[in-house]
Amino acid sequence: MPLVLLECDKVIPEREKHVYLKVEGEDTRDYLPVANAPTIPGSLSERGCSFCGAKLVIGGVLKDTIQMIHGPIGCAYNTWHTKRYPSDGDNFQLKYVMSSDMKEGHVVFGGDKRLYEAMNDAFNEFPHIKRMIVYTTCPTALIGDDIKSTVKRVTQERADVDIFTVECPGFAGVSQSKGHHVLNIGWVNDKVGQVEPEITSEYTINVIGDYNIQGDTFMLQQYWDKLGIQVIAHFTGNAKYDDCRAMHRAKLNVVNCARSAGYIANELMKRYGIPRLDVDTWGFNYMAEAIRKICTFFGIEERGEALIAEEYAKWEGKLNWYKERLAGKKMAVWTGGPRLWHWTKAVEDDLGINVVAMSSKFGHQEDFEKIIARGRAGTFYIDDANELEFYEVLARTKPDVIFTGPRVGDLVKKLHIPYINGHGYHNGPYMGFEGFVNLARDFYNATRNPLLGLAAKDIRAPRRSAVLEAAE
Amino acid sequence: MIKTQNEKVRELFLYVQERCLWQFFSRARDRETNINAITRMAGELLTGTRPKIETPIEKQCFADAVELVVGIKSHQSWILEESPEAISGLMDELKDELLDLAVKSAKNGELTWQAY
Ligand code: SF4
Repeated sequence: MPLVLLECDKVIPEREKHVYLKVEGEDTRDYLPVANAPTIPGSLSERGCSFCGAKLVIGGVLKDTIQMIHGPIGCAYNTWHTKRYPSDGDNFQLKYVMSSDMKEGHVVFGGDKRLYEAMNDAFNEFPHIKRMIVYTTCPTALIGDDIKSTVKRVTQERADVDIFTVECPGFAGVSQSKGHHVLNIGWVNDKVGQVEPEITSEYTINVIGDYNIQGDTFMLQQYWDKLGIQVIAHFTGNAKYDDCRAMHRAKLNVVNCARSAGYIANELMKRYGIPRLDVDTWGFNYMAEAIRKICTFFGIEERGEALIAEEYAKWEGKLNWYKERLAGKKMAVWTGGPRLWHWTKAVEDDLGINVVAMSSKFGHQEDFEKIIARGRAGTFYIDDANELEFYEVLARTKPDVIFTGPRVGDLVKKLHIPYINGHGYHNGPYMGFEGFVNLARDFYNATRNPLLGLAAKDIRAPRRSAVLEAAE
Repeated sequence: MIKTQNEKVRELFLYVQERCLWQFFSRARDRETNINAITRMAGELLTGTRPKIETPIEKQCFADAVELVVGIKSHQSWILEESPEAISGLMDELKDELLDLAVKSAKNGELTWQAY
């Protein structure tokens, strides 16, 4: 079947190029939705801004770094503490965000002085923190504030600090994706190669594109420790700023989220000759495959097999308990992009769940190639879906549970369909063996939760009809 | 039932398509490197030859090839009956089909974009 023009899109027929319904026998040579393109006027997009892609997704995860957002206060609030990425420190990264709090006067007369003061205030307020990322936003980019020169001035005056600049205002690209790209390239240009790590193992990796959502990084770290593998840098889950300046010293880049961080993996391959191994870390089958590949790379296959056997012995029984009860359930995934291709086969193979609809906010065509290659026939694949499309696709596919963010989650709650936070998780972590049991449990609980059914009951009904009768 | 050559290639192709992320790297040239090296090494491993590995990138391709061979042996067990010549022929055709999917006939407009 070609690309689909949904009923609700009749008034914006350009949306047809973004909606695909797979038919048996087709592959991405036949059809590939348009992606990473500007949102079509008339379509109420669920996307975020490009600054958000840099700050909320990647930079803001660092546990020892002041996040300085040069712009109005809203840019800071919109990208603060809405993601659950803890750290093994004091969770500085969850507690604090700094803003230069630009007002009209600063927009008119320039905000450089304001930024200079804010940076110094922040360093004075947190004297134990010596690292900072300064972000530009729409207004400060538009008025042409010279952030780099302010950063240079502060760095010259404070010998013990290091500051990274991300010049990616909200309008820089079509979605969050541009912010990922700008931060990745900026970091490899400005910061990688500046720190020499202490090497404690002959097996060294960077784990790229894992942001420690509800402890994903902690979960995977147990495996690396058991395998005797040293992680030079997590980009950026539970990471320190300086860890990521030492990325050039790893022997292998293990890439999980290729969308938000494939760029830095590519650059590390090109500039430092470090190979890039793309893996999936959600799902039993996939996690075992990732461990086997990494161990084959280092020639420590037996350690990998022992770890996999140990984890299967611990968790497979629990997974199978859920599989028996979840097989045949239908799921929709409406998240950023990569989780669509990471999850669709994982839930099918490990839990017998069928993914019937997938929508990506900021995935590129590369993501859709992976999604469609792995996804089922009869499933919808949508780029940058809007609210009305969600409703229509829901009516057509009738999923039991939807994995999405809180915004769309609230939307589907009104239809009394359970949603699970596909970005920050409900009760994660979801990565690794234990993590996938957590995902299965959340799915199971969502389908068994009586509250959504009760919420559909209008308890006012008798009173309302009595009132109506009285009125008649 | 005896499978034709086309059916065998198709089975291998569908397996790789569904399973392997290395065919979908961001740049066309990286896709070509991976597909060429991994299918060649998988063919060698299936016929009992140890692939030559000289660079770190080849080591990564080797790790991917080993896993591919494990998958093929369990999902397409008929391959164990094939002669070494037949296996190289199958792997060559698999390589061509993957290159066609991921590079030559790919509709992905960003494959050769300079910013990547
Ligand atoms: S779109 Fe611009 S003004 Fe709005 S939050 Fe993003 S950076 Fe700030």
